[in-house]
Amino acid sequence: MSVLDDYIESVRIAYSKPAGNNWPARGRQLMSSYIKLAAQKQFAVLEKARERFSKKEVANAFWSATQIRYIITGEFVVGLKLCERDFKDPSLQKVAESTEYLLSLLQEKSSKDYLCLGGKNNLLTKEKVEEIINSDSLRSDSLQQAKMLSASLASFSWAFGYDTHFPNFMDIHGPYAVSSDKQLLVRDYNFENLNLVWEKTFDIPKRIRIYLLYKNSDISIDWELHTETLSEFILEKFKAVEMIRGEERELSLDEISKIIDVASEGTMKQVEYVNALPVLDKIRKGALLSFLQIKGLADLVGEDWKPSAEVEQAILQRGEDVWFGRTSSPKKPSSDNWLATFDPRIPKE
Amino acid sequence: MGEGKVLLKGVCANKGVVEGKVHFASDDNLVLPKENGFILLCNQTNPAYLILLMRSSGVITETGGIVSHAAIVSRELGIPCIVGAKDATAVLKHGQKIKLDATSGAVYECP
Repeated sequence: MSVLDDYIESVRIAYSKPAGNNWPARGRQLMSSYIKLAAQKQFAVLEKARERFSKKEVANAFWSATQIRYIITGEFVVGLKLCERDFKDPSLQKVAESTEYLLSLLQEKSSKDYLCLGGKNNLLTKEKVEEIINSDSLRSDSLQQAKMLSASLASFSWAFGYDTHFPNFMDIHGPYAVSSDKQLLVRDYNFENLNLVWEKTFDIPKRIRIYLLYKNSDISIDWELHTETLSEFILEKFKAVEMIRGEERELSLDEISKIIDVASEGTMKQVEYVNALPVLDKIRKGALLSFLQIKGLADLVGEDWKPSAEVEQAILQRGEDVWFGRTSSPKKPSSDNWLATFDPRIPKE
Repeated sequence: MGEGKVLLKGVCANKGVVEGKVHFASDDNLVLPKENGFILLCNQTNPAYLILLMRSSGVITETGGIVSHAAIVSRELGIPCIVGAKDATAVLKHGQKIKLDATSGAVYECP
């Protein structure tokens, strides 16, 4: 099996689940206006970075492994295949090679199970997991608060990243086996770039990490960051920290309460704000979120990360048609269609 | 005690069993009940439903899948949830007492 076959298998697992009809819009409504331009930009900065920097340096330009996964199945493969179909540039072979390179960056970033084929997205070392578990700072006196913190931050990431681009701000990693019936799951939140897309961002810490220890032995995570379990989640202990320049500072219960309040209020206000935006502005924000994914890469090669004037033109020309579905029939693709769509070796019809 | 009549079925998004009164909500009607522990019923949730989700003991959505907002947040909160329960908002009534067995994906009538 080639790397690309393994990648397609992990996509098959993730896309075999019933999809949600989510808020405010799935990728088709947002990205169809500018997907080729987004993919071309991703391709250009990636190839420049590949020429000039080591694999490790390029991989480090992404804040999480999940972000690379979302780029591959978000705009990269589909957008470049559309470019190949329409102007034969880049060639399909180049698209496949470049996808393989992205997969190798993913492997660099997440060496243990980079495709999540084993149901894991493991990033922490065994020593780090042991250090967390053996420390006495994991607490069990306020598990409801831990759940509310996790739920409010997930909703906050969703509201500010749309469902299509929430991995700009959120990552779930693990499960890390602690014993035969206990697993550690880690939620990482990164709001450092929130203000590059949104004018009002609320007083939320830039980096938060939550360690959650479950009495459970069968949690799994797939390519699309879906968590699944065959039994009920039973949260046993947790620890929440603020990450400041890589150092962890444990959050007190009062601070956690404040973050829950800020995240909840921010989520509500953001929903009201987005719902009230004109359609083209919703799409423009989607484009900014899409291009934000490669900000680190663009910074690395000294380029501007923001959408170009061409993207604005494309949104003006096609945005409303795509949003209101006047350009193509909204038929639901079969899983075979999804696999063909995301396979860089198969041309776009 | 045996199960009551099956009222509807959906897809399990988070396992668990809970009994409670149905609280119907929609994008235009996000009223918070006085008492917590209700079973939230809606077409689908979005981040605006967060407070309702936090105060509910179970969730039933008519549309959406296991990767929808309701599914993700209910897993974070550890509350039973079924999604894609077709016609749920027509079959269930606001205030009705039900048993939600999310593990099997079924909603039962409660005596």
